[in-house]
Amino acid sequence: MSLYSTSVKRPITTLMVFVAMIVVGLYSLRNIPLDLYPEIEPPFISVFTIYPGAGASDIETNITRPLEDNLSTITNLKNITSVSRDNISAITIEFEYETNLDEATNEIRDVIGRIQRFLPEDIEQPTIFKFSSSMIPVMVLSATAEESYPALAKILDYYVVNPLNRIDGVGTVVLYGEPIREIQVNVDPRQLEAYNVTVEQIGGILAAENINLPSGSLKMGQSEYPLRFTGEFQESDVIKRIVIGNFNGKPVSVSDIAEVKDTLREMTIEERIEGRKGLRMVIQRQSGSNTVNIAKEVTKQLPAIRESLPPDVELKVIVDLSQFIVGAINNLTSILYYAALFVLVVVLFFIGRWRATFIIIITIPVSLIAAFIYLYLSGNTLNMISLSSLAIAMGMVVDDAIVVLENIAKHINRGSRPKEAAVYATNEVGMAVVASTLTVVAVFLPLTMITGLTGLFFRQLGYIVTITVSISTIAALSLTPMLSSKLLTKKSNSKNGIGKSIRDFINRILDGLDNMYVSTLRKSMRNKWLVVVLAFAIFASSMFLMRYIGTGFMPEADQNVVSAKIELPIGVRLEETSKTARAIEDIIVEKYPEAYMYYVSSGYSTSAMFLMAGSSGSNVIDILMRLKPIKERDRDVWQIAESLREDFKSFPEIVKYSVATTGGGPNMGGAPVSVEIYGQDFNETNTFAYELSQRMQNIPGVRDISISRGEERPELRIIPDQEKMSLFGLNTHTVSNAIRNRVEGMTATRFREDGYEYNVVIRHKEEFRNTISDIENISVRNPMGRMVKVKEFATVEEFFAPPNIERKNRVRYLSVNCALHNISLGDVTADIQAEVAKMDIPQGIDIAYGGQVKDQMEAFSDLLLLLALAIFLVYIVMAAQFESFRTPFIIMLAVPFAFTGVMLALYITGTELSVIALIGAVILVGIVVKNSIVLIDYTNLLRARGYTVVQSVVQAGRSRLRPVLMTTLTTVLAMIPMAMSTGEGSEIWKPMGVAVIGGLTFSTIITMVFVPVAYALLGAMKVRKQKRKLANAR
Amino acid sequence: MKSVFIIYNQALTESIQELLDHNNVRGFSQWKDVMGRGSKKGEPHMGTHTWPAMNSATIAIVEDHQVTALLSGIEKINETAEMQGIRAFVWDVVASVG
Repeated sequence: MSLYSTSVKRPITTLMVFVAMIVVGLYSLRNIPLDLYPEIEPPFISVFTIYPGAGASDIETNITRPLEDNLSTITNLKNITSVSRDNISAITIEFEYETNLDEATNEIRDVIGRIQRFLPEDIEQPTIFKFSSSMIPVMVLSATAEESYPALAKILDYYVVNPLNRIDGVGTVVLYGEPIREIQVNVDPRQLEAYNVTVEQIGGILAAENINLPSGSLKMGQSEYPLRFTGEFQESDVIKRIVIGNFNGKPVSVSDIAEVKDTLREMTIEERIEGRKGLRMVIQRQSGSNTVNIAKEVTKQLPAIRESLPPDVELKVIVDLSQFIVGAINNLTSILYYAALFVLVVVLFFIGRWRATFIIIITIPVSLIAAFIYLYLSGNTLNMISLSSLAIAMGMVVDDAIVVLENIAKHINRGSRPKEAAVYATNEVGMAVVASTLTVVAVFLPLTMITGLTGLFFRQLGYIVTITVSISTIAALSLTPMLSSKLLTKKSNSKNGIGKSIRDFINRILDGLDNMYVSTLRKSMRNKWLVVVLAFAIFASSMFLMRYIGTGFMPEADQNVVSAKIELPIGVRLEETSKTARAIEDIIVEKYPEAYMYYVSSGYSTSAMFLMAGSSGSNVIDILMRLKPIKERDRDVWQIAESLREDFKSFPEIVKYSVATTGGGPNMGGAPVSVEIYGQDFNETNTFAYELSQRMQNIPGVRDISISRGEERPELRIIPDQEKMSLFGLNTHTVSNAIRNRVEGMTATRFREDGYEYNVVIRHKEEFRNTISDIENISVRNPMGRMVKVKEFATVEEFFAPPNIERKNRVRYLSVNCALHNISLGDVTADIQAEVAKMDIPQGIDIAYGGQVKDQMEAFSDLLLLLALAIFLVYIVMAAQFESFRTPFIIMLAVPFAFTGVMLALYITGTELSVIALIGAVILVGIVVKNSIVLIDYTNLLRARGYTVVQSVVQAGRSRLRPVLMTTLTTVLAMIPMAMSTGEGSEIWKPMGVAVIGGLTFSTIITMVFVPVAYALLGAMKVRKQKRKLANAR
Repeated sequence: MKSVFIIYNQALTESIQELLDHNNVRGFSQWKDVMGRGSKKGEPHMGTHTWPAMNSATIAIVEDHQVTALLSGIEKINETAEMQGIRAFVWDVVASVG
């Protein structure tokens, strides 16, 4: 027994099956986590090897190259890049997406094990570091304080970090820029000499004094008491009174030769939040946990945490990744509601009956909810891709139900009983419904098979549309006939006055439309060749439009964040950098009222994450501005970024700046444009890169040009004369340690208080370690007890350290990177290529294009292949359905005009052709073919019923116009909220809406005229051929 | 006894069943999915893509007095649903066993 007769006969079973599905779907929905994109693990693994004391080029030859050579055989490897710096070699291996990184890690470990004995002996064990998306901070909090500032780190550790760590899913909470208490013993080198003591001596004495020692036990009577000598400093003041030695019979205490300060460690980084001193707390998630849930929980706990803090400590949220995610998801959800509303209006307009409309609309929730079950079972998130997929599916899921319902209504009007009409009418159209669903599936299912980043992104789209459309077909063949058999009645003329006049009015419009279309169709049937020529002309000219449409990778969204990195000349000290930072702060306050939260930090942090990031130093300023929501400001992030660039230009001391509009979030594809220059010779490649960067400056829309190879850094080197040193009885070890203890400081002991430990650091007072001559005048005591000055056996010279050596795929390279403003990626790439062509490229230098350009090219070629595959599969499905080679061909003549429509829509709206727009073009294949099928199928039917070609074409046109308009309008109107939305994240899905609306609208107009004409032409040819055959047979 | 042969669009199956019951016709034989084409204006019912509808056929052997009521009932069905297609033919039953 067939699906539809069963469901009509067992309405309660049918209803219960769908109710069960809805319940399970809603349950799934409750448990699906939210995210921005489908989960994508970055396929990168790094290998760090430390070789103390080796220079960049030694590192390159001895470590990086052998490692690279051996690592390059690893499976699924895509690129291998490396940076060799002084002391460290960092190799990054990029894999194909979806590589099993655990296996890859093992393989890397094997390789390292194999070649380790060929590496220098002194290297530290290479460490393997796997980057994961969970390292992207979920939230960044800031804390500012006045009186409590010195103790801020401790306060936060106890009252903020601990509670936050207890939240489920929170990985780590890291403090940046925390002030650390330190007991400083700043000595005056002249007094040291006068009293004949050294820094090391003081250190030794302090360490010896600050001791608690168990001293056995004491038996008294019946008890035993442990004995303990407690010499540890009770308070930091004690240090001042400690006696170092005797001079001329008088005791010399620490305070005689040094000042003791219980203060904060000298900072290498200065954090300022809204102009106040403070620090940042970065919250990272555990891998596998959900950003939105964590952020929600943190936000929930913040008020209680704030309560517990001292009144002057202020906690603020600088970055909250979830905010954008939640905003974008809410935005898309409301788009879905609008889309559903539009579909409802269209159906009601055409069908004109509430009950019928209800039967059709009910398939929307039923089939969309099925998608939630898929998302839940497959462990996916509810993200922008899955929600946009639902918006796309929305217009399509009602199509099958419409076809089925129309036929049932027809039968009922002819006099069948609803119950029988439901069964037999569904039987009549069942095959056609399944076939049209198959064409859609033929387009969307291949989406699930693409690999790479594009595949990860659009797999969900493929699955969701396939699933929802399949479920909608099942519903159309079971739920729709069942409901029709219960709810539909023979059309009675409306008794209601207003309802009737509205109905009549709509009918008049639709009849007028029918007549207009039929007369156009008749006219074009008389001028078939003219129509064909016109159609080709339109298609050809639209292809010319292509050169005016920019191309890009992913549309960038306004994420309410602007960040900037500014570099002052290399070697500028932190204090100077801070001054510039303060000036920039003032500008932000004055000129950017959109920023409701900002932080400026200068200098570098010593934490590992920052070391990884590469360029950091006392000359670097990081800025992050968090902006008000889009609706509350006039300027978008790109305008603000551009204006910031202008402001930075007015500072003469700023040598390099880059402004980004992402800040914190996942940054797809890295720098937009990256020109990679391969070549062994440093000077040649440097010159070439410099010249290219100069030329790029003249290309409009290019911003923030930077060259990846660092400039040479000045450094001071103390060069000893070994002979003189040995004459004084000194060795390198003693001397280098002695200098380090005096400049960097010697951690003598740890002062303990309330369970925390603080370093006690001895070193020269600041004024005695500021100049080269201060260094030269450092005294070192030799074994004979004599004080020897550094200048007696060594010279201090200024050097320029060689730059980092970067390699990619085992060849030295450097890259010139830039950002874009108001210009498409494709245009800029073309301009740069033109500039490169004008330059003469020296022998041995190769140029390649990386960054988003490369991703874009890969994605485009993937998608074009997919497009070809989709067209082919659709042809196969239709050829099988119609048992004909010719009919599918005629039907698919609608496809090129969909692309014409896409081009036109992109051109008119000024949207660039991005991966998203291209996906829109791919899915159009399935949607426009559907229209064409409806038309041609019916024309074929009329032909078979004995009408002439022209009669069939015209009559099919008249009868199919409304269904075609209806399915087109449901899809187009379902996409309109998507194309028009302006809220968070709208930039990302807009191109898809624009492409689908443009393509579908245009192709429908063309389809309705050109496809019948082509049918008539090819049909006439067939008729002539048959006549000739008949004549020959006779 | 007469045999009434009714051939009709299968969408009318229920109406025919009711008609038979209403007229106290107990015995009948029915063929499902019968193809056919009307002699005058009836659409072909072929179960193909071009002509998707199908017929059913029922033959009932009834007493002579029942025939008129049956035929008028069929006529009534035809009036309410002319597009569906229904025809009935009556002929004599010469003998029967069993």
